[in-house]
Amino acid sequence: MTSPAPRSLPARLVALLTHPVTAIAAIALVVAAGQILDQGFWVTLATRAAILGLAALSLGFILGQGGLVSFGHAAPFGIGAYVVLIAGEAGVRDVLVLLPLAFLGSALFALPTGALALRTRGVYFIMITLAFAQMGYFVFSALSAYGGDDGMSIAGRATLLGARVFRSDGALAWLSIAVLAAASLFLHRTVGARFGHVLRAARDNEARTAALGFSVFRTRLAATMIAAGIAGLAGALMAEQTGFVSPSLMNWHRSGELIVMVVLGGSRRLSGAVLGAIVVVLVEEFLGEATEYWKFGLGLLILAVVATRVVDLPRLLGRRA
Amino acid sequence: MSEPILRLDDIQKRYGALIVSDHVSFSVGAKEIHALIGPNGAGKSTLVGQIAGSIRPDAGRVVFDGRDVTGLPVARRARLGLARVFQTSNVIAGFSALDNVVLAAAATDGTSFRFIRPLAGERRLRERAAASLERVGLAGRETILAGALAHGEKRALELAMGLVQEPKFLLLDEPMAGTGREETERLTELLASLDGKIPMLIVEHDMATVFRLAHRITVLIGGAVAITGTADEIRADRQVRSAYLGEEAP
Repeated sequence: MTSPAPRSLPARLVALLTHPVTAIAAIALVVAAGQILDQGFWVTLATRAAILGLAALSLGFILGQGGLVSFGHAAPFGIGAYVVLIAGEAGVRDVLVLLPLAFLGSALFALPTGALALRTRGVYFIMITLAFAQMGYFVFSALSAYGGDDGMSIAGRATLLGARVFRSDGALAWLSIAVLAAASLFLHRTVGARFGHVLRAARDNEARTAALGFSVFRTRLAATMIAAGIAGLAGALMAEQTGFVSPSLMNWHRSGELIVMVVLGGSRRLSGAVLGAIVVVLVEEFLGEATEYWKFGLGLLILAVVATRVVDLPRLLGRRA
Repeated sequence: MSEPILRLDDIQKRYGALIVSDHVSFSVGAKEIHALIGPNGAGKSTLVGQIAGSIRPDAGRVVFDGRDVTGLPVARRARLGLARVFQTSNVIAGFSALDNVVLAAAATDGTSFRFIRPLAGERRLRERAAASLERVGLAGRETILAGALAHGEKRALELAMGLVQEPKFLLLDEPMAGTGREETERLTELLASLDGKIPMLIVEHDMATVFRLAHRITVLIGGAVAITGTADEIRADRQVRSAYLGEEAP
């Protein structure tokens, strides 16, 4: 669908800022600058933003397009990380195997849990997704072979066709950005394709969509599995970056944090999630350095965003969202 | 008459002590426009729900196009060719009028699983959808958000969504509810033009519409079929006159 061309300058700015390429390009720029100026910290921070942006993007897909408010998205994220840990212990280290494996592992987790959760609606859906994520948290806490409660270091960074390219943080940063870009491109296509339309139609009017002949349940289940798979990719990359995997990756705090990112960026727009992730990572890093009460600052930010959205900022600036 | 498109076979449904479908049996012929009338609370909407698949009967069978569909969900029945126009305007409010119909047309392929190709680029669907909008008198309103259409236009849009699917059967639950006189007449003529092409079951309060369209009429009173017959037979029936038609009968 073609949106009407924005006219006024502020409208153009908003359009540019919310363009799906902008956030990813910004992350890439920081990585490039960090490499050129030899600022390892920038590279690390940008990688973190890309990874969390990837996880938030996948949540934004089911939350924004599907209207499915999952409060358990940390579960597929954590499972992706554990796939890297467990496969690494088994001697599988190649990224071309690890990433598909992480995607599959998380998507498969979403098959039975999603099928059950999707039988509920509204607040029950929120609660059941939370419950499944907590179950995952305790299952991995009980896996003493893989560090139990405390977690465990991964055997080593992944390889690419046997070459140990990802020993450098820079290479891992570019890998993360590439995965984010690919996932973003795929999801944007999907949103405009038939699948995205059916997903949104079911969000707006489930009875109508079913009466037209679409299986709402199967569409939502597929969307949930895709989103979980992408979150699994993010988890795998997170395990690579920190070199450490623990059940705290799938703590409910993280599920909440992902929702915050999606809401901050604007849930109806797919590209908003990456923007939201960047903001949260920055606030956490710089406000967190200044004060241990940084979450207070994040809270104020959320309040500000939610309050201004009531006024509907884009419309205020002369453009319909 | 050849094999009926829809046959209700001893349908029973109760909510607690309340019997809403009391051994209901009737059929809609392959080329028939059949009207279902009855006073408020007669169980018409429950029956429509059982035909469409959103409500399961406690006992009895729904046979559609020669096939027992009693256990099939809504979406499966729709894919078999059963198109439904809801009692209350039921469109995707956030989609444009055209996209609503495009979506309906897409549903005839029976799958949502196309991830890459933009829906806007599925030309064949768009052409069918635009033609269907024109047919119901909504040409020129394609880009308006469905939620912003006037009430009568939404009814017409729903009809366009039904027709674009080239259904084997149209299930119309009070299609004229809340539309103006002129609109009602236009929609009635449109439905009349489909006479002999698409069989229909039409639940309607507007008696002028019912008598204009229906080949046969089934009267539902207290969950049970009081009588099924032609317009003249219904008009002549004393029981129906006193129970339902009253002064409304022309």
